[in-house]
Amino acid sequence: MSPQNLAGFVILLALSLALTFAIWALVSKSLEGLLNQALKLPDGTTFYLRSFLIGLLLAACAGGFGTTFNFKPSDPFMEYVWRVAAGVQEVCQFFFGFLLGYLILITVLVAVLRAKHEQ
Amino acid sequence: MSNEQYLIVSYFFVGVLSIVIAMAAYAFLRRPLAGLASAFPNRNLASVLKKLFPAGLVLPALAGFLSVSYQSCHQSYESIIADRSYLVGKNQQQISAICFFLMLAVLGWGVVVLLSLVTQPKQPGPGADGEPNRR
Repeated sequence: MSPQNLAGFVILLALSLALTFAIWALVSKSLEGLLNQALKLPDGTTFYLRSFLIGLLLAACAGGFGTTFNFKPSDPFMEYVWRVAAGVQEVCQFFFGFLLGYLILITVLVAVLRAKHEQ
Repeated sequence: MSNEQYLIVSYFFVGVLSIVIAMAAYAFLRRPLAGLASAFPNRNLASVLKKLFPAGLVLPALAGFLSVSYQSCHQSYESIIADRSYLVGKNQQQISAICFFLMLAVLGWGVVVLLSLVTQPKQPGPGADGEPNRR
């Protein structure tokens, strides 16, 4: 792998991880409060919060590693930019899929456990 | 290093890496799952969940690794090892598939834990004589 390809790959991975931590920073506090309220079990809250973080990291890596950089050193700069953009698009798709699945899971969890606690 | 040597080394390296990533996820989630399981009144269910958890992460990671084929479009072995960038791309695809399958496994375990929580009978409250709390 040429240094240019490696640089493109590292930039894509860094962007993916930055997106991961942005989502984590945005959501983690409210999610923790919601889980505490619904589960009433500290270990349950920890399990679902850690699952969320692992899922985000895996989605970022799945998207980041799924994009290959095999350009020649003479290829124009914009080719690298477009490949990074394609990689970020793939990362976003993985994030979307994971967040959708996780949100459905948490919604069902909250709805079912609330009904159970109210019985 | 020749391309054939690279293929052999990288294939087994990524195979081992899939197990390492799965075990890292297991180590990160093991304690909260054990804590949750200890809260279940049904001891057998707790034991089964705790024992199946590592397998439930390692097997999907291995499945992701093995799901990537080098011989797409009926390529011969010679044409596969002729191009180093093709081999590197396949390694990246393998890591991507490992991460994707593990992500699905983590979501799947979330569903399993949810079902285990929902199907548990209500614990008696403090001071109660085995009777569930009623409002």
